Amino acid sequence: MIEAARGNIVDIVNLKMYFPVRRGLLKRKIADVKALDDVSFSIRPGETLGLVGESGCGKTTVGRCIVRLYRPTGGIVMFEGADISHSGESDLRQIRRKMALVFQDPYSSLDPRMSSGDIVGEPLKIHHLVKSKKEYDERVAELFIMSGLSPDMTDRYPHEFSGGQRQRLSIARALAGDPSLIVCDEPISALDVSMQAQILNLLQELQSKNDRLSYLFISHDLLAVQYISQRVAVMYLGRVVEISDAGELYANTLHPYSIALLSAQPLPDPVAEEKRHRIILTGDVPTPLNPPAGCAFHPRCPRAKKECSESVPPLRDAGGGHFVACHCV
Amino acid sequence: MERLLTVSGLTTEFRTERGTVKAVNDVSYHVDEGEIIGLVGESGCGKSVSQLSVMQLIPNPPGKIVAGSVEFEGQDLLRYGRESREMCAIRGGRISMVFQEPMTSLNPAMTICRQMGEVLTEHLGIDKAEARERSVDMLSQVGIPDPGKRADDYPHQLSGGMRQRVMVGMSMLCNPKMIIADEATTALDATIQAQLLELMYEMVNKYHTALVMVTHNLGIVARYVHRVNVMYAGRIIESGTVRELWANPMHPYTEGLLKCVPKLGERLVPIKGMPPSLINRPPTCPFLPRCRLRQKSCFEEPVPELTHVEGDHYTTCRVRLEGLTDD
Amino acid sequence: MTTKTDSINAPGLGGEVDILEEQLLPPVNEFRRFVKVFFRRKIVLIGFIIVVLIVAMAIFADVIAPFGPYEQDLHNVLAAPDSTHLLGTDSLGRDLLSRIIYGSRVALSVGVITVLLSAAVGTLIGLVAGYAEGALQSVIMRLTDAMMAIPSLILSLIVASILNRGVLGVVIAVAITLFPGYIRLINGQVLSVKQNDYVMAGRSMGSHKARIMFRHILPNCLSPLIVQMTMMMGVAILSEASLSFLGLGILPPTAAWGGMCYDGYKYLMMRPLLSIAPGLAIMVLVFSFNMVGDGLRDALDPKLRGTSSN
Repeated sequence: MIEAARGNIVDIVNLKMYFPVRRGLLKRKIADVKALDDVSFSIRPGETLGLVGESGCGKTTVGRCIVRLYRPTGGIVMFEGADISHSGESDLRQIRRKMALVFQDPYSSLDPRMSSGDIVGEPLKIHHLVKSKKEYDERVAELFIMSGLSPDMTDRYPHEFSGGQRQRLSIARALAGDPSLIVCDEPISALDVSMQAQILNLLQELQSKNDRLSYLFISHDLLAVQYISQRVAVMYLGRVVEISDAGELYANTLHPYSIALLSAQPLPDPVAEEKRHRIILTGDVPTPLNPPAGCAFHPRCPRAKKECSESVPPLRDAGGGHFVACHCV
Repeated sequence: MERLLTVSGLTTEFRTERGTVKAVNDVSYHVDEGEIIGLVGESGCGKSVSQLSVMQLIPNPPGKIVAGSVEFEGQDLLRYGRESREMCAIRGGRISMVFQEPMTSLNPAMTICRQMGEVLTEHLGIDKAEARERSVDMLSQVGIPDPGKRADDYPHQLSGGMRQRVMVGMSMLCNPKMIIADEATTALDATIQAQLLELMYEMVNKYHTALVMVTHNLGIVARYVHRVNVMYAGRIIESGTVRELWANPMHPYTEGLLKCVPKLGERLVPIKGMPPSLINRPPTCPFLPRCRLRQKSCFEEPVPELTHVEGDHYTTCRVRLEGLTDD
Repeated sequence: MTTKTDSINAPGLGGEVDILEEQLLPPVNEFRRFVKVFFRRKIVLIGFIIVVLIVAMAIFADVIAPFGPYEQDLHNVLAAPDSTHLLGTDSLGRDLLSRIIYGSRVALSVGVITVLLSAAVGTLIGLVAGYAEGALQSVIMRLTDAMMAIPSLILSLIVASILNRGVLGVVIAVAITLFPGYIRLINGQVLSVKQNDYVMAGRSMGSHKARIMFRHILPNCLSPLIVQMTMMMGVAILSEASLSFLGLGILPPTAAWGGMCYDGYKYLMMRPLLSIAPGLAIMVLVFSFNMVGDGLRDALDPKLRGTSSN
């Protein structure tokens, strides 16, 4: 699974992230939540990797490990060929100019006490990317226009913007350091349908103008992921269960969970919906605090066999770069 | 099919510091017995407020129903006071609602069984033992494993999906004629959402209950709904069967909405701009600022009523109705 | 409605598009909204006016007061109110009204200095505790709880009796009872502000800790801090008066309301006004500050920021 690291924007290898559960006055550790267990993948320059899964599957944690907001419990995070898994704060400060985050909630991701211009220009100040006030103002205006906002709005405060515009502000801020990676953590799920389409297209256009800009696009919306990604990884309970080129994954879905997930998403087309055979999974998503033994999906899996409850299936090549972790495939 | 609910000219206003907001503006629609209809639109379009108005659950002040009538089983609901005995009997008894957030819709300090039992004793006046029996039976119908035991759980002991199952069960308890599901599955994960939707679909078919699905998810509409009303800026701008609307959208907003959903191999065409502010809106078409078909007359004349096109299809687009464009 | 159009090249919309003016939410005049909410309740307006009047009284005491605070009229000791001494005189023949007017200086200055000192110390510690979390936070917060468990008057009395009497001693004695409250408040506030994605966004951009604390977290804790400070003005004034009443506060002959209450107490039967008038002054000022604090709490409510509802 480990590909040649040369030239990749991001490589993560056997990434583990356990969050301790602490109780009591002395904050003693009583258990671990295994948010990520053995996750490996790469993001190539100019590529969009879609990461799908349900809540609690660890997709947000992956994003935050890559930008090193979390220090991984185990495994390696490489950014542009350098191992940053254990870099200290001062080293990270240099690297963070090249990576940015766009959050889900357009309301809590912008500081309400700062004007929109200050918000977008903050990375320029932190990393001393501009020399003069004039250059700063020009750069902020340029970022506003790049993100589809009028530069006259730099004095306005976040609460005067609508959800879609706020998400554009977030994107403008992410672009300020001229990054090579933007981790988009559910960037459209809080928006209305018509705004979602605008943001998806904006992200695509930005990428078409800068062929080194890569996205990690985290979402639970399979249709949006399919639209924007070149490759897609499906996660379930802290593990990647399937990863492949987007076209291949949607045309030839292998993992039973991916099949069920695709099937659960109603298609916005009444004719196709009628013909479709749908698989409705039974049971709830288990908690990562106490995951089932073996393949975490086996209690809900329609194809589970004895082996599945005994050993964790490894992620292996099913041909043509289509990787899947299932005993039954 | 029997006509169950007829809403006509419903208008709800909210007073704010900046002016009066017509959150629901001259909305008319109907629901037949046992029918599943959809109400789609983006946030702030008034789809939830219109349903709360039907149930007379609008907080007053600042909100107020200023015009229209809501006829349900031959009674005009707006004639009854908000807190009148008649209205209370209808809410939860004849019409029930399922909301988006199951955690806040359930009382965290009461067991599931007591909350369900309360609905039953309130509306049907049956005793506690029978109420419990019926509650447990309903829990098993909505697919709660080990319902006898789970009935004594508190809401926080259940997962989000289970809580929403409880809500669905509760809404069915008094065998209502109509259920309003206001974004009932939006907060759930994809696979759980699919379970819940199937469950609701089965339940309403089994008991021949009408279902109003309020949602922004066009996929859900396409899959479960027969007839759909599209709302924009407080008005129903187009209405028709799902098949008809999908195949032949008349209103440019409906058309745009359908093109906003990612489809394989097709480039997204977003609707440009944003929904308008609802404060002191002129009587012209609310979609006008974003419309690609707009004509001079659209700026001058008020928006037309929902006008019949063919079959069940109604629209408010003047340009399309009068054939002002060959598009 | 304006439909003025600006044409700019907006990506995501497929080339040249109109950006409509009306798409922007109308700008909210925060100040006007603040004033409107603040003065909505009459009692807040009254409180505010009284505070302004008393502040003016303290500033212009020299002009307003008919006599100096130490000026003795030995022919008129313990005089009843008349046209020269509107509220009468005390046992040393000093004009009561003038001393009450000058006393407002002590009350306000002790209040302001105490509140600023305790707020500065408490905010800094609370900020550190909330930002650090973990063991450091646990230790700070348990110590804070322990301090808050000591009855505040007893704590002030002990501290005041150790320190020199005078303004500084009183300020420290009162501030020490107040600052744990700020630690609590700010710690809780920081914990909730930290949940916001913009704090994480700041970290992901490579901001220093100090920048995140002072640029993002602190400004978003200010509203409750201002409310707390206003409310604590009343508490501080009351504490100073109690200390002075108990003889551990401001040294006589300085005109301090609490001390004046105590002095007049000996003549309660004969000249009740000597105790009651300064007592009333304390009550009115404390009450007014609490009302202003109440109004501020409503007006600074973050839920109302940028909203148009009433």
